[in-house]
Amino acid sequence: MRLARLLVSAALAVAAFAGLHVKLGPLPPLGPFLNPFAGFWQNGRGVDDLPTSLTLAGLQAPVQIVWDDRRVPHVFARNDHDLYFAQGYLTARDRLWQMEFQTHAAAGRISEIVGEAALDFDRSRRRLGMIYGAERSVEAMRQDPSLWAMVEAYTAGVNAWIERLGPASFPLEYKILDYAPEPWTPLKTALLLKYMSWTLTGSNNEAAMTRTRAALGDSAMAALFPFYPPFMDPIIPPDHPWRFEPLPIPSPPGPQPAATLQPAVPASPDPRNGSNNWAVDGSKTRSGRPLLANDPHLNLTLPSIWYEIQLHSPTVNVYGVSLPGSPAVIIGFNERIAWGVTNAGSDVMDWYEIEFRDERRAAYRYDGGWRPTTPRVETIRVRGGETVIDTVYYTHHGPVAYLPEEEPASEAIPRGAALRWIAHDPSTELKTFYLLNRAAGYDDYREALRHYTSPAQNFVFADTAGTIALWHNGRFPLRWHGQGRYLSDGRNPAHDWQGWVPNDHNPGVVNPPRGFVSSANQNPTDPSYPYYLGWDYAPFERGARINERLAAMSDITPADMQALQLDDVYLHARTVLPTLLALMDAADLPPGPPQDALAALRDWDYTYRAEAIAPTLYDAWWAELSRRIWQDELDTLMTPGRDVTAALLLDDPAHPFLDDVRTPQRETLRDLAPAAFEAALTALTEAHGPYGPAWALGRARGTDINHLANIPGLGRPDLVTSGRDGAVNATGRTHGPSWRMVVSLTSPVQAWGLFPGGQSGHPGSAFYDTDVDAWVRGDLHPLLLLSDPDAAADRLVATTTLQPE
Amino acid sequence: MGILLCLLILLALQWTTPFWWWVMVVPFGYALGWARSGGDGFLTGAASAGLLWLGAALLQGLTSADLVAARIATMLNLGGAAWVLALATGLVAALAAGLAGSTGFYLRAALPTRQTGKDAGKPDR
Repeated sequence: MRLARLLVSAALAVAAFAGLHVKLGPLPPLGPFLNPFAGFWQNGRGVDDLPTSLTLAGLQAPVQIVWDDRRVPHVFARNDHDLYFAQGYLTARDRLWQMEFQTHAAAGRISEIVGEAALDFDRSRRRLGMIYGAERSVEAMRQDPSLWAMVEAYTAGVNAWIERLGPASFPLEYKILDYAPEPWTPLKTALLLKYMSWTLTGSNNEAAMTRTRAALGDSAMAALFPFYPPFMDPIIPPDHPWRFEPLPIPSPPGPQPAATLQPAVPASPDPRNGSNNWAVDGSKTRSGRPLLANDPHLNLTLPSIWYEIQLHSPTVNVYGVSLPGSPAVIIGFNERIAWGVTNAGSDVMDWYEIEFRDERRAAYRYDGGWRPTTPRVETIRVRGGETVIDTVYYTHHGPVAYLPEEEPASEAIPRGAALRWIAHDPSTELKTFYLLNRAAGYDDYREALRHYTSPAQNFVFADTAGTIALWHNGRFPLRWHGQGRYLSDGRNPAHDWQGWVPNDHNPGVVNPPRGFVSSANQNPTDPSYPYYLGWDYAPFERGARINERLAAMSDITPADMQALQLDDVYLHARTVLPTLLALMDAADLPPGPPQDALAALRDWDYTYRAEAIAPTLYDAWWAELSRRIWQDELDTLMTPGRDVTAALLLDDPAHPFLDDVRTPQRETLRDLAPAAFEAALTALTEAHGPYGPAWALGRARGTDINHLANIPGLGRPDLVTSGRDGAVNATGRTHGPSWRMVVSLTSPVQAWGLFPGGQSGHPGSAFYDTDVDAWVRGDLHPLLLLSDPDAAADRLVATTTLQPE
Repeated sequence: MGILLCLLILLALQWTTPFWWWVMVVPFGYALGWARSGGDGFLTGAASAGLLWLGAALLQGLTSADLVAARIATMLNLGGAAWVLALATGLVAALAAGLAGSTGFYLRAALPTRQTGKDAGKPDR
C-alpha cells in the first residue's frame, strides 16, 4: 500500500517535472518560463532603465550617450572605434534577439531553435549559398582596414552586452523559444547584409517565364511581358543624354535550346518590396534649399527592421536608421547631405541549367568539355533530431540548389540548375555607408556609391550646396539584350555574365532641368540606355504619381513632402475605372447593394482611404476581371502585370485574349466587366458579410504588423490603414512604409521621420510599439541631429556615460 | 510553520539561482524529513511554492512586467489577462511542489523503519 502510494505520487511528480522542464510543441517549457525569478516575469525589468554610468572593457575613452524623448541614443565618442563599439552595445541592448534571429535565418540555422519543421527552410538557405556569400564578403571586408576596424569594434560592442546577460535576463523570445544567445561575429554582420540581398534581389521568375514561352511562343511573350512596359515614366527622365562611351554589348548566342526542366508549379507572385524616394531642388521649395524624402517599403514586423541612432565622433556626425546587426547609418543625413534608397530591381540573379556527367555530380558539361564541381558540406543541427549533413555542388556559375530529382523549397527555384547571384561575390557594401555617413557633398556621395555591389539601390541625394541627384547603383552584369529573362544554358560560355557595367555608366542624373529626381522601383531608364539591366520592374503607378505631383508642385514645404508620402491615389484605377464604368448600366443591376456599390465607384476619386468602400470594390472587381481574362489561356503559367492587362483592355476591348476560349461565343470587355462586377460582389459578401462598413478598406484589408517570428501576442494586428501597394502610400496587408523620412537641406539641416514600431525590441518595454498608431495616422517626429551632447536639452531625457575599464 | 520555512528557503534559493525546480526539491526534502503525512507534504509544498510564485508574479505584474504579462497572456490564449497568468503561475508551482512534497513523505514511509521524528508515518498506518 505504502509502496503503491509512493509509486503513484513519484510517477506524478516525475511527470510534472518532465512536463514543466521540457519544451513541448510550440509552447515554452513552462517551469523555467513561468518562474517569476528567472522566467518571462523578469522581462519588463530594467528594459527601459537608462543608467547614468557603465564600465565596459574594450572602450578606449569615455563615450557619452544622450537619450532623447523617443529613446533614440545620440552617441558622442572620441574616436571611431568607440563610436561603433557603442553602436554595437546599444543596438544589442535593445535588439539582440532580432539581430541574432535574422542572421540565424540567413545562415539556415532555424532548425537549431525550432526543430525539424524548419529543415526545408534551412536547407534552402544553405543551398542558395547564403553562408558561402557571407564568408566571401567577410574576406573582402578584412582587406579594408577602416571597414574592418568598424566591423570589429561593432562586434566587440555587441559581445560586451551579451556577456552581461544571464538566463534570467535573456530577451523574452529566447525564453519563449528556449535557447540562448551566442557570441556575435563579423560573419553575422555579413549574413545580415546577405539577408537584405535575398529580400531585395531574391525574387525570380525565370523558370515560369521559360515554361510560359514554351506554351505561347516569342511574340506573345514580347506582348505580354514587355521589356519596356506601358504607361512607364522611368526614373531617369526620358530626354536624358548618356555622357559615356558604352562598352561593347555582348551579342545573343542565337536561339536557346528548349528547356529540359520538368514542369513545376508556377512561380509565386513577386512580393514587390517597393519603396519611394525623391529630392526637389531649391527652385521648387519655399526655403530655396533642396528637400529629400524616402520611404522604403518592406515586410512590416515587430521588432521593427530599423533602429534610429545618431553617431558623432571627430570624423562623422550622422543621424538616421541603422539595421540591427550592422554598424553605420543606412538611411539618413548629416550636417551637409541627406540620402535615401529604394530597391533597384535590376536582374542580378540567373539560373543555369546544368548537365552533370553522371550521378556522382563530380563534373558538369561546359564549353564542349567537363568541368569539376566543388562540393561544399553543410551541417544542419536539428533540435530534437539527427544532425543533417547536406552536400551542395558548386559550379563556376554557383551552387546547384536542387538536384534534378529533388523537390525545391520554393516554386521559383528550378531543379537541376545552378544559381549565379551577385550576393555570392565578395563585396563591401558597408564601405558605401561608412563613406556616405561622412560625405560632405556630391563627389563624396559618388565615391561612396562606387563601393556598392548588392542589393542594388536607387540612391537619392541632396546637399546643402543645392545639388540633387539619383543613381541606380550597384554592380550589374554586362548582358546581351534579354539575357537572363529565361533559364540560361550552363553549358554555353556565351550565357555567362560577360563582364560588368562600369559604375560611372550606371543610370544616374544630377540637377535635372525639371528640378526634381525620384524613384519608385520602376524601370530605371527608357530604351535609349545602352545597357540591358533587366525587364521586371515595378509598374508605372507610384513613379508616375510622384512625378506628376512633383512636376505640379512649387513653393514646396516639408509638410508637402510628408503629404506626398501619404498620397493614396492609385493610378491604375484612375487609368482603367472610367472605361469599366462606361460599360456598366445601373438599370441592369438589382436595387440595393449592387447599385450602391456602383454608385460608390462612380463617386470615387481613386484614393485608398481606410474608411472608403470603393477601393475594396475596385480591387475585387479588378481581381475577378484579370482572372477572367487570363485564366483560360494561361492557367498555371505566368500572368502579365496589371499594367499590361490595363493597356490591353484600353487599347482593344475586343482583343482575342479577352475572349474566354472555353465558350463557343466570343466575349469582349462588354461581357467581362459586368460579370466580373457581379462575381466581385459575391466574393466580397462571402469574405466580409453583407455590403456595409465591414467592406471599408481599413477593415476588409487593413494591416497586420506581425512579430518577426510570428509569435502571437507580440505583434500589432488589425490596424485600420489607408493606402495600397500601387499608391505612393504603399501600405498593404503585411507590407508598407517601414521608415518615412523628410529632410530639409537648410542650415542647419532639419529632418522628420518615423517607423512603425519603437526603439526597443523588448515586448516588455514601453518603447516596443510606441509609434505604430502615429504611423497609421501618418505623423512624423522632428529628428535631432545634435552638434554637441547638450544641445536641444528640452527633448533630452537622460545621459549615460560609458567608461573604459 | 513548515510552510513558512519552505517559503523562506525557496525565496533564498530562487533569488540567487535561475533554477525553477527548487519548488520541487525543497518540498521534497522537507517532506522527506518532517512531513506528518502525504497530505501534509502535499499541502506544505503546494502552499509555500504556490504562494511564493503567485506573490512574486503579482508583484512583477503590478510593476515592471505589466506589459510583458499582458502580451504573454495573449500568446497563451488567456485573453490578455495578466492576473489569470499570475494565478496559473501560482497553480503550476503549487501542483509541482505538492506532488514533490507527497512523494517525499511516501518515500520516507516506504523506507525500512528509520524513525526520524516522533511517530513518523503514523497517520498512514
